[in-house]
Amino acid sequence: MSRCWKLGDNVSTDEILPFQYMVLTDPAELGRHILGNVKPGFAERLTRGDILVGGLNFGYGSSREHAPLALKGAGIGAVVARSFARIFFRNCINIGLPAIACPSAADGVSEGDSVEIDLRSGEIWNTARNAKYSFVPFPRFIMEYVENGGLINTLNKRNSNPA
Amino acid sequence: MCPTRAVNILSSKCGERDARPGDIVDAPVDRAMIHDNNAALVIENFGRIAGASVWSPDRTVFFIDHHSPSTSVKAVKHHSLMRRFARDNGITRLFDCGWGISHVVMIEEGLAAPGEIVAGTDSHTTGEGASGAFATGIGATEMAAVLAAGRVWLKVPETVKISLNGALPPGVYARDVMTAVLGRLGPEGANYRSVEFQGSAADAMSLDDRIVCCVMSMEMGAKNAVFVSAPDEDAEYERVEEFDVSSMTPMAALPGLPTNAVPLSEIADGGVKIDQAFIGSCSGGLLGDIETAARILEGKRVADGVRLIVIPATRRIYNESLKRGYIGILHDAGAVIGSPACGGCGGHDAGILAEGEVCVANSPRNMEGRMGAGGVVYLANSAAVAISALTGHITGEERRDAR
Repeated sequence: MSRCWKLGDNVSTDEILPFQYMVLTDPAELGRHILGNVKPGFAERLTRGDILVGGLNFGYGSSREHAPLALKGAGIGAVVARSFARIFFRNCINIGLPAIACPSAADGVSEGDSVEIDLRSGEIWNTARNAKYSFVPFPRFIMEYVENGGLINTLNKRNSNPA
Repeated sequence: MCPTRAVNILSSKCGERDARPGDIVDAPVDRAMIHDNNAALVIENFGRIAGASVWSPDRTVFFIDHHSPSTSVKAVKHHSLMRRFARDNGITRLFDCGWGISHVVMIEEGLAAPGEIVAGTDSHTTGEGASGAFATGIGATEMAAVLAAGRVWLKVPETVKISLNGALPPGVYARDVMTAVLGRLGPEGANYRSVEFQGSAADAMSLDDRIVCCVMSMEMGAKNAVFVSAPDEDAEYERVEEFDVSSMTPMAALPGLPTNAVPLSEIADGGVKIDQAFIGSCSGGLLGDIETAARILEGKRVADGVRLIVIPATRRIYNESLKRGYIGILHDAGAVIGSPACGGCGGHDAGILAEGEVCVANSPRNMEGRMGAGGVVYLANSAAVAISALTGHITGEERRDAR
């Protein structure tokens, strides 16, 4: 069961992880500064396993992987949005953070709702509202990244067990 | 129907006879560009790949342009890491402090040739498309894998054609054209798409103008952007947007998103007081931008209480500006001249805003907090930024003598 935090449309990576923390690389340290310039104090309210629910084009702008890394470091379990900006989406799956495009959940979930996500079946259960939202499950290779905790683990696994 | 330029490049590079939009291809990378904002993560992740070695030191290009010269103890540690990694792995192309902004230097140095695939750890890598390359931004972990294998998976994109026709009126710049384009298409208007600029006004654009258009295409989500002159037949576009540039006027973007486009005249009524004017970045530090600023500021003085920051995008542009006297003019007008780098646009080094401050800039972005928590950024063309620096509030070129 995961608690949801709602954010709006076009939330940029500039907002998710402000410039002054881009000299950091440790995920946990980065995680303390999420939305630091626009919603001070937000990071302190997060608990492990929480879900961010955004609107359109989540992760707009800069390619900084520090943004999804900060979310992962803060223990965010997944990001759900109506849609994702291209590079942000790639960055998420490359570090093993599920980025789920699910318009019905983006619309139906309210802040504070509890949800359960099944990546394989492509379903999000909103236990607070007894509602189910469906999404198209990841293709196999992306699922592999997410299940292995990212691209690098996947490469290493493939190299040690060549098909 | 012929394929679009993006489909063509990906098909021929991937050895696929007829790749289609939506196909996933394993694309060979001709140039991998890595800059100091992301290099530490790239190198860290590269180190985690078992048995990895750099696939091609010759095709790998490092830039120190975001925190340049070093801005903090942490930043300089990343720079040292980059220099050491480059040395240890035989990477000779490390463009150190002062060379300037990756996207522009890549073109100046012939490192983004037509038809090549360029992957960079920067969203504005779309800018390298101005030379005809398929250039796209990726993240740090993915770049680590590119360094090891020289390949990246890409979904063959649909293409949005931006048709630009007519002649630009005096006082209207490529930047205004792009603000109008962004205003119509919105921040997601070209997400995952390739952008192709065509038409008589596109053909007439200089390389600098093309860099502005290709860089700014990122702000509507583009995967890559290119200019295609006079194709034999129309390609398979997902969407075509026509613009008559001859009816365009100077534009601005209100704080929040570069796509918040309004005619500059709507805000140039003296109502927006500024604290800082910024001329620089991959979309605003080109020779034409410095020239425009110098033309406007010659013999004049920046308004009291306004900081004007001018940062030529590259050493070559700085040098040419120096030779032509622009740097002296700007210096005498009260500008702070920065060494070629890109950090100022995103608050990484020079020109951070205080809470409540207002900046007018010709850089690509103005998201909340981008140049400092609580500071706001309006985007406009170089002339408007320079004139605003003189008047102390956002002002258009037609009002330049109203001071």
